[in-house]
Amino acid sequence: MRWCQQWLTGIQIPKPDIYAISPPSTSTIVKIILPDKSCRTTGSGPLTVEALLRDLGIDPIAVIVARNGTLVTEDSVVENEDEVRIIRIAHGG
Amino acid sequence: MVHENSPVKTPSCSLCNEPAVYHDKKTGRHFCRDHFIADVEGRVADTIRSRNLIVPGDHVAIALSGGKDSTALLMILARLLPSWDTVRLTAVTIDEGIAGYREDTIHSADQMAAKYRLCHTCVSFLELFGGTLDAFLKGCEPEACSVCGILRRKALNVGAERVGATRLATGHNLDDEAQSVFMNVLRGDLPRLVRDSGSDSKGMFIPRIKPLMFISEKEIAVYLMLHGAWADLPECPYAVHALRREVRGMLATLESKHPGTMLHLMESKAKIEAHCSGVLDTEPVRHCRECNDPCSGETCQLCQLKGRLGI
Repeated sequence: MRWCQQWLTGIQIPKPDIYAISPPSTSTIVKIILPDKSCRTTGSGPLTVEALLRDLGIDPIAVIVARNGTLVTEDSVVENEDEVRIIRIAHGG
Repeated sequence: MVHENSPVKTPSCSLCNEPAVYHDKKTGRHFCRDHFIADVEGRVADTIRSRNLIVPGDHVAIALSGGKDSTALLMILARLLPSWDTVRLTAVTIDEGIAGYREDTIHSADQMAAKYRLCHTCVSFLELFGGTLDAFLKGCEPEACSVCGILRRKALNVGAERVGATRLATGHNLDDEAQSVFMNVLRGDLPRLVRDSGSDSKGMFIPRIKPLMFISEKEIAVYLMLHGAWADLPECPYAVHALRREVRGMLATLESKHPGTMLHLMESKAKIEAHCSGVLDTEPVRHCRECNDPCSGETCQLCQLKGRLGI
């Protein structure tokens, strides 16, 4: 895994043709607005809305999610400086 | 992480190429804005038609709390109404007297009724029972939902009678109905499990209808969001005490892992109802010795409660 260690330290070397796991993109930062209006960011790379919610410990059935101001499905992908707003569904009414 | 064979950034509608805004995990179908709205409204129309919930000439009182479910109910019925001849809508709002909660939703109800140009009647616990729910619940907060449910049922009947309604429509959704089925099973309450709120009391009350009974809470939230009618309103402060809260959490987890669970519960209820038809329905309807309202015992639940609360 020498190439990997060198890649992580920023040294440019030829990469193998096939990767078991895609290398993380350092430009991927997702801004998250949580139901309580607090903000946080995640730099874990492209991922589905559902995976993001699971990472945050939020049940997808209890919220709706807007990406950059547009409602999206749980199997949509967030990446590259997307802004994700998570809206809790209040019960009753 | 997203790897090979990963999902596209925005899935497309299963019926057209527009970006999807809703994914039905049970069927696997994606819906764009327009197809989602058409699907929800179509299913509500089907529910109404197949169960004869509304017939020509009906005057439907919508129990409009101002929360998301009743707001969606009003919007959908108002949009479907032009296709039904001679059906009239009126909004009825109950002010239970819950400080810090009801003010916002009543304001929202006022705005919705005005927007759709509906007559709007408000009935308060203070007017009907001489006090607010907050006052009645001092020291017995864990009973909040059962106390409120009994008082609210009476208040809605009074409101519907005042406006001359022939149907009382409530915003109960699929989640609510599935939770009720589950709760009645947990309580071992078979009569309540199979009781149809639209036909109980043998027609002595204005029939209640639930046009959103097959629309999930999440679908309602998405519907409102797509219409720009989503309001971030608070939850009832007494909800924390309810058994329903625990059941809701359990069912939500099951629905996430096994899409369709809530619908299956409703189907189970329908099958049990069919098997019990004519078996559990033998108890004669009596009249309460205190208020003369129809009931199953000597005294109705409301009068028993009023006696207990000293009101």
